[in-house]
Amino acid sequence: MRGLSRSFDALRALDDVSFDLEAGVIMGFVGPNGAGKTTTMRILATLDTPSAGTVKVDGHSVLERPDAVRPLIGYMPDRQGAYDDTSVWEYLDFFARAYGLRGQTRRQRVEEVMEFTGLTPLRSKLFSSLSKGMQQRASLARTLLHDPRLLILDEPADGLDPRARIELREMLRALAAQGKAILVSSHILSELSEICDACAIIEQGKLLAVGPVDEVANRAAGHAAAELQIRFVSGDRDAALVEHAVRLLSAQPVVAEVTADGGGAGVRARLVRPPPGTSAVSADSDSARLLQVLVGAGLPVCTFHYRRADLEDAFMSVTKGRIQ
Amino acid sequence: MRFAQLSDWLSPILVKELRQGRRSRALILLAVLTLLASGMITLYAIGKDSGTDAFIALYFCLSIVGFLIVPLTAHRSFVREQEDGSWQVLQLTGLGPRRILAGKLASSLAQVAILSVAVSPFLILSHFLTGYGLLNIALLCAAGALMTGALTPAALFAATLPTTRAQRGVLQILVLVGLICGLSACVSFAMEVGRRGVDTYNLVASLWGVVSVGFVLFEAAAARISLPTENYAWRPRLALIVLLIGVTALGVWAHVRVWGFGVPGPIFPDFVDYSARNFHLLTVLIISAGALAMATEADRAGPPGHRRFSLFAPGALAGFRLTVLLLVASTAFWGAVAEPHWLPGMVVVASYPILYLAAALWVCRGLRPRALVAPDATRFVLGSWALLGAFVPWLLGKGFSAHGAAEEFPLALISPAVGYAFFDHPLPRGLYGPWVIGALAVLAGVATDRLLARRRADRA
Repeated sequence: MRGLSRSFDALRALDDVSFDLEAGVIMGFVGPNGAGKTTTMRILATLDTPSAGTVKVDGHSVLERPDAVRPLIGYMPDRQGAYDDTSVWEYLDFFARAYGLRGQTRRQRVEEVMEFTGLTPLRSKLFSSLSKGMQQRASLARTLLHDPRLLILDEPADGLDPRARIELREMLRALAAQGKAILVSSHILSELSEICDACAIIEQGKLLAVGPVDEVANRAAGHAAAELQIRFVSGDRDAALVEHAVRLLSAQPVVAEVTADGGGAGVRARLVRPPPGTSAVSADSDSARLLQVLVGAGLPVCTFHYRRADLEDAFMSVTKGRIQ
Repeated sequence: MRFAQLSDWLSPILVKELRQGRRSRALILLAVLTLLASGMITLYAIGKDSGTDAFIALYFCLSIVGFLIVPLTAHRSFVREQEDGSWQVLQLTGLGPRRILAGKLASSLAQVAILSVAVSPFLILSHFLTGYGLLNIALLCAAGALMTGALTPAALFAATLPTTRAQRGVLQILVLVGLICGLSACVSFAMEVGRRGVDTYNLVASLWGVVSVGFVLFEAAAARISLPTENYAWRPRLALIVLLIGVTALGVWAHVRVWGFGVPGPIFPDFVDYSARNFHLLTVLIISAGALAMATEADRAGPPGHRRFSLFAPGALAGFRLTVLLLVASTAFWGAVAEPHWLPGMVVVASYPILYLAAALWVCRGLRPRALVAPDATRFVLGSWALLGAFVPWLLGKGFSAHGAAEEFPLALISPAVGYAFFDHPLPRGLYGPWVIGALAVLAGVATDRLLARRRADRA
C-alpha cells in the first residue's frame, strides 16, 4: 500500500498511508474510532476506491485488477448481515456456491472450514440463533472457503467473551502458520499485542507508526522503553533501603532514571531504550542482572516486576485522541 | 441427474432463498391462505355456476401474490440487505450484481410458479364452469408471469434508491402504491379479456413495454449495487440503446413490409392504423424508464476512466437534452408515419415525461432546497412525483366526476394515464388540449434547459 489517500468531500479520511504486509504475518491495525481503519480495509478489499495512491495484493492492483484481487482476499466486515431461516451449513454452502465451488469439492470445503472453526456440532443451527461469538466464527469460516492468501478482519473480536477471544486468537495463529497474511483491526489493544507480529497505528487518517509490535512499542513509548517496579520487605529501615537501592540502580548503565515509589519500601526504575532490533531475551537478561545486583547487595527484594512498553503504551504515546 | 447435482447449476441466491422459503412461516401461511381462498372461490362458483367470476377471483388472488406480495417482499429484503452490506460481501465472491439480481428475480418467479401450480387445478376447473377459454387462461397466466418478472426488478430498483431511513419509509409506501396500480391494471386487463377476448397485438405491445421497462430497471439496479471498483455504467446505457434500436427497427421493418405488400397483414388487420402510435408509446416508455434510471450508474466515484453521464447530478445538462431530443425525435418520426388522427395523442404522450422531468428538475435545481440537491434525491422526487401524479389525480377524477369518468375532472389531466386515455382517440376530443399540453412541454423544456445551463455555468 503506497500513498493511500481517500477524501469524502472536505473530509480527508486517509492521508498518505503506506505499509507492507508479508505472508504469514498478523498485523494489528489500531486507531481510535473514525481514524480510517475501516476505510483502509474497504479499499484493500476492493469495496472502495482511493482518491490517490496504490494498493497491490500479490502484485495485482486493487484498482486496475479488482477481479484478480478478490480471489486472493477474505474480508470479514464488522457486521455479519442478516440470514434468517438459514442454518450454519446452508450459510456456508451458499457462499461456497457463490465462490463457484461445485459438487463434492464444495461439500468437502464446507466441512473443512466448519471443522477448523469448530462449527461442525452447530451445522444445523440457524445462523440468526447463534451467539455473537459463533456468528463471528461462521463469518470467519465464510472468509476461508476459497482459501484466500490475505485475510482482512474488521473488529473480529468485538463483542466476544474472553473464551471466544482466546479461541479466535488461536485460529488466527493457525492461519498465519499456514502462510496467510492477516490484517486485523481491533480496539482491544492487549489482545492485539498478544496476537500480532506487526502493527500499524492510525489516527485522523494518518499512519503514525508501523512495524513489528515490539519495535513500535519501544519506539513509541519514548526514551525509557521498559520499567521496573521493585518492593522490599517493609520494616523500620525503609528509607535507608530505598536510598541504597536508588544508589545501586543509578550506577547501572541500563537504567535511565530511578525514583522512590512513594509511600513505602519500593523504587521505580525506567530503563534505557534498547537499540532497534534488540531481542526480548536481551532485555530479560538486563532485568535479571539488575535483580542479581539488588539481591547481591543484601536488599530484601520481595517483588520485582519488569514491564516492557506494550502496544497500549505505544498507542497512548503516539495518538492524541483526536477525532474527525 | 440428482437434485443436488442439478442445484450446482442454479443461482446460489435462488437455492438459498428456496431453502429459506421452506422454513419461512410467512410463505407457508401465504400458500395455505391462497389455496384456501381458491378452494372457497371454486366451491362458491360451482354453486352459482359462474366460471368467469371464479376465474377473475382466482386471478385476483394470484395477482395479490404475484404482483404485490412477492415484489414487495423482494423489495424489503433487498433494502435490508443494503443496510447490512450483504450485497457488497457477496460481490467479493465473484457473484456480479446482475447475477445477484437475476437470482432474486428467479426466486420471486419460483415462488409465484409454485403457488400457480398449486392453484392451477382451480383455474382449469373455472374453465369448465362456463368460464374463460383454456388458451386465454394460459395466456393470462403467462402475461402475469411476465408482469411479475417486470414488477420485481422495478421493486428491486426502488430498493437501491433510498439512502436515509426516512427515504426508505416513504419509498416503501410509494412502492406499495405502484404495485397496487400494477395489480389493478392487470386484473382490469383480465376482466377485459373476459368481456372482449384477447387483443393479441395490444397484449404483445403492452407486455413488450412492461418487459422493456423491467429490463432497463434491472440493469439500472445492477449498476447501482455494483462496487465502485467496477464500471457498470455502460450496461443501463447499452440496455437503453438496444431497446430503442430494437423497437425502432422492428417498427420500421413492419411498416415497410406491410406497406410493401400494400395490404394490412393477416394477423393484425388494424396494424397500419395504430401500430405507429404503439411503437411511439413503447419508445416513450423506454425513454422515460431510461430517464428515471439513467442517473443511477453515474452519481458516485468510480474507477479511473469512469465517465459520468447523469441526468440528475448538479450541473448535468447533456442528459436532459438527450432525453428531450429522443422524445421529440420519436414524436416526429412516428407522427410522420402514423395516421393523422393519432397525432394529438402522440404529442401528449411525449409531453408528459418532459413536463414531469422539468417539474422535478425545477424543484431540485431551481429552488435548490438543501435536502434535494443530491442526484439520488432528485431522482426520488421525480419517481414519487410521477407515481403520485399518475395515481392521485386519477383517483380524484373518479371521485369528483359525475359519471365516474376521471377525464371529466380537468385536474385529473395532470395524470399521464388519464391524459393519454383522453386524448389518444381516433375521434378528436378536446380540440386544443393536446396542443396546449405540447406547448407547455416545449416551454418547460426550454426553461429547464436554460436553468440547467445556468447551474452548469455556476458550478464551472
